[in-house]
Amino acid sequence: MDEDTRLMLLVREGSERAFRQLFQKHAPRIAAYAWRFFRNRAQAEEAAQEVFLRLWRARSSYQPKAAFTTWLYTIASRVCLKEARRNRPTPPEELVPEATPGPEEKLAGNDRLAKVQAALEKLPTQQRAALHLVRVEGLSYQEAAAALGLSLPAVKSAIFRATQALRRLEEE
Amino acid sequence: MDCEKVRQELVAFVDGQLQEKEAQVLKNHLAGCQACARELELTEKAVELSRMHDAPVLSRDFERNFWARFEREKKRSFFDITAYLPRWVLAASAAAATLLVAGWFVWTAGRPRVTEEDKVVASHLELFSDYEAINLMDLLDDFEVIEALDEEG
Repeated sequence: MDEDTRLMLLVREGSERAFRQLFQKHAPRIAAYAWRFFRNRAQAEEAAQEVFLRLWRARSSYQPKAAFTTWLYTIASRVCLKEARRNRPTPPEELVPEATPGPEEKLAGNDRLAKVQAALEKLPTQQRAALHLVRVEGLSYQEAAAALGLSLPAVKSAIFRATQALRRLEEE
Repeated sequence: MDCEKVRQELVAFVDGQLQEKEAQVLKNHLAGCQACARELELTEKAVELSRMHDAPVLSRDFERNFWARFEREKKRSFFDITAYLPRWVLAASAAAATLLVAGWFVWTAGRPRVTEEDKVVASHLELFSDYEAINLMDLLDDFEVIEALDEEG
């Protein structure tokens, strides 16, 4: 049993301490995932908070059948997809790279990152979300499909198309 | 496996999502096909690009705001009985409540309605103790009866 699952089982029993640990570990990642949908910090933070409130409310129904992260990203995907459908997109905020190397590399890297983000922006929401879950969070196609409520072939196709779009960027 | 099929599977291959057997077939093809090997390189670069991602720098108040919301949530759910009861109990309660309401409507549908006048009468029953006298009063409202009484008188 991994550490997250162990903590979540404690949360199921009502442990706020375990809940705090899970929040501190995963909330920034969930906010980064929500950022993929909204490109707006306030909305991403709001969504991340909502995800953890839902996790708390649903604690008694948690079953450690699948990985904790799959369960967490299932909740996150529902919250974000619902919110993305409900709200009009807000103007994207300035891009902030997660890891920044040296000054020169930073300039080149930021430029490249900006191009990648611009290309990702053009993708449909689900393709973007699937790509993030697989490539950034390291979920398998099967886990990403479960989190997004899609079939395995649908996720495979979404990832393929999104990668092709980035490949075109590389060929330019 | 032909080149077209291989290229369709390259992304899943790079992601490590193919079954071992499928992956081996693909590797065998790639070893003997330069064009597909080149496709693999381009796919790997694209996959690497997709791992680049930006993220928001969370606001200072992010955690504090969350825990404040969490405390409110706890207070709310403390008074919310639905947070404690199993779903089947909630479903059974909802069904019972629906039956009660439906039953009340069915039961009251065939009964006469109580009017405002009925309520006035009910609240002044002492006035109706001498019902005969009241009937006579009604008779006195009839002009012909009054005339007849006068003639008798």
